[in-house]
Amino acid sequence: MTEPSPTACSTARLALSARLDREPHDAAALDAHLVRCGACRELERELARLVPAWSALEEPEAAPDLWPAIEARLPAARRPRARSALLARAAAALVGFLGAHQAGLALEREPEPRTHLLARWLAPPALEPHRLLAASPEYRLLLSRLPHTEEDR
Amino acid sequence: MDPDLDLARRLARGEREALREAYELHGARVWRLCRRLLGRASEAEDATQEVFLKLFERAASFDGRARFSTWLHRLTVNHCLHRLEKERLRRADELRPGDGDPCDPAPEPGRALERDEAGIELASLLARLSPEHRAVLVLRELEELSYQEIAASLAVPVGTVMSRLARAREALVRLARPPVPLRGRP
Repeated sequence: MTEPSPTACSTARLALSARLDREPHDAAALDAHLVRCGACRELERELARLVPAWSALEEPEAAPDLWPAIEARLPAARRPRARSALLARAAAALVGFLGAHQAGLALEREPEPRTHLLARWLAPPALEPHRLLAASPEYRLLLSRLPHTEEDR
Repeated sequence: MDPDLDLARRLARGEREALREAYELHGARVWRLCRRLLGRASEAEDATQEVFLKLFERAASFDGRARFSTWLHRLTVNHCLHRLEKERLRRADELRPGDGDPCDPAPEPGRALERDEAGIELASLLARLSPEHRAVLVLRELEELSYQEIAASLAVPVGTVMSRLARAREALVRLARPPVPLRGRP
């Protein structure tokens, strides 16, 4: 009887492993190889001896509560939100602020003569509170530093 | 439909509450995997924390091609393999002849009698395998994942899983063989 080739042993060992896992393999070819190859038969016996050892391994103990430790290690600052979500929040705040501002004026003010109203509309835009905010270098810097995200695209 | 998709989206937005939910849902599984791959409870605790910190940091890169739980599993396995590799390199630098194996999860003296001998021996053999071999065996034999699931967790083809499993088993068998006594010269 000729010695099986290393390639045949290598194929048989793959099949042996698959057989242990009940995965598809060429059972007839493996059995034929095992009849001829003592080394692979010995490997099969040794692998079979290991099988009960796996179930003898202890289950790990219950997981400890690691959330407090994880939370403590989180970076202090929140990660930046999507630019569009921030802009939406800023816009909502601005609308609220302007609404409150106008409502306050309406309650406090006597009706203005039409000439005064015209003068207010013609006043330089930078004097309007919301325009002041929009024109401020800090606001522009904030906008330029906001990261672009998938949501923006 | 991935049941964790909404959770993944909230994580990507940086919501801490979503991270807490992810920990409550998947923390035990991540812990168990870290414990089995790394051996020691203290190592597993540290690794579990790091996995969830990484999850928070990288959630935006989750693309939904795999299930969120598979993606987290892969993150955990990669993190543990990275730790094992770092430990292996450190030991290669530091280990001197006669030193014990720092990775050997041998039980504490008082507990040894409570555990089955075969299990103890297998645990110590596993600790001596290469990280790659240990990971594939743990995923198959202990986590009971299918070849496809292992392939997804390790980001390798199914064929690689098959061959890696076969080689890992052979390596385990070789380690389990009793040492061949050296014959003295006549």
